[in-house]
Amino acid sequence: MKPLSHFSLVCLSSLLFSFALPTVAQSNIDLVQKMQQNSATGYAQLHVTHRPAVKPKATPAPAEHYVADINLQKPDRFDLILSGDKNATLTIGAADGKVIWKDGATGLSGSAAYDEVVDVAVRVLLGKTANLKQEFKFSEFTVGKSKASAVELNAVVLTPRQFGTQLQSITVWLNAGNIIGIQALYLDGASTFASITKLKLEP
Amino acid sequence: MRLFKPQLGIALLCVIILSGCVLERRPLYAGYSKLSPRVYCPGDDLTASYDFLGTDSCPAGVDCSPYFPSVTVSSETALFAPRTTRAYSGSLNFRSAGNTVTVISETPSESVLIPTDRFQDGNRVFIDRTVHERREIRVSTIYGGEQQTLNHAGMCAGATPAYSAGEAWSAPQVSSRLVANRLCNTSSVPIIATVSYLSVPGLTTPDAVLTLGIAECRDLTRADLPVAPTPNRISVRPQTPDLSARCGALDGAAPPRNLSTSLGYACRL
Repeated sequence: MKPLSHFSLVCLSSLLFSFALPTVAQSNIDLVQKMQQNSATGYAQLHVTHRPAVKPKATPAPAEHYVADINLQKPDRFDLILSGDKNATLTIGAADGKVIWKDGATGLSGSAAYDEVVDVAVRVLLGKTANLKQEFKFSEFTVGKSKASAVELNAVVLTPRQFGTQLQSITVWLNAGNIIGIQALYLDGASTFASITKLKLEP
Repeated sequence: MRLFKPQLGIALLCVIILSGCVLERRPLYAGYSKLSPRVYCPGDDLTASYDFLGTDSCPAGVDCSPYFPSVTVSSETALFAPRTTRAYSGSLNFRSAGNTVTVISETPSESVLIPTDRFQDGNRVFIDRTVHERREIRVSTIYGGEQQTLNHAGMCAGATPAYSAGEAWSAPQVSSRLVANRLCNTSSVPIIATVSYLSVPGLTTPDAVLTLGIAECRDLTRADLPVAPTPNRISVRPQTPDLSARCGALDGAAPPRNLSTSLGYACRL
């Protein structure tokens, strides 16, 4: 596994941790903003599909599938365990401005400064930004219940405004006010989708 | 400590011009220079632009002009005369020609300084962005056909399997004349797809529902309508439920398998 390409999972997960709190919102965009601003500690299990960037004239690399377990304490402490294909595991931990990682398959490990490896947009989402609309452009759309969808889905798209971010957009998928999936698109064409299967929050 | 060329230049700038400054290094946004749309139709106008500011700005009451970068924009095939501007941001419009267009932006300095309204130890803090001295951006026409893969990720909406919808390319990222005209099922199972169309004032196009076998493609052109609508969103589900999905399971919950489709594009006359 390539450890540094997966830190965006923390970003994807960071939006989850205030979702069980009852929230009254005018729109799905307001809902996502309020959720982000409620700081919390919690655990989530995600089913993740990561699609590497497609290089020009190259055959697309196959998608990578993981189950991710994440414990997060905003703004900057988290443990992330990725269990992937072929029994590969990757453990990533962050605390006190430092990120450490260990690849279970190879035994290789390393560390880096938090600010250097955690994307600037992720750091904003993990923090307590007063006005998220200054940091992200928001848009939303609805996929109605139809022959192709048994339920109504809402999507809120966040486009980062920060210099230096590698993220092109983050799409939050909701059903009946609950986040059920988050998609990150990167500037190089790669993408990560996290489908949420378990969420536990602690007050 | 050895000072490399960029650091030396900045240090000299600080001493000579600023009489003391604090540099705050910030990375350059990957999209600071752009050529759009990235897929164009023959004869389209293109826009080359750059922006070193992003969400930052020149503080009120500060003359930022001494720090403006000099940026020269030219094209590989001389579609326009090279133009040099001194500003934190700028843009240039020109007519496309040929199958590809390459625009080159050149900045002689190795960093761009942006004053802030903050001070440290009595010295103004400057944002310092290291820039690429030469950057080439290439965009292509629709020639050869464009394909967009849409990934429909499986999710659990409570106990019900659901799939993310995919959005078709749209202006200004691609030409406003580019329109999706073909949908293919690239999933490993037969699917039902709903095609939604872009709303136009005074004209609402009902969704189209298509059943697609494995690798089957369907034409999205709506000859039955007086005005050809523009598909903008594709939502899907498998024709038969995914038995591997375990939505709502208390233990070992798993979303349904991902589906995928592919959109083909053509230029509208």
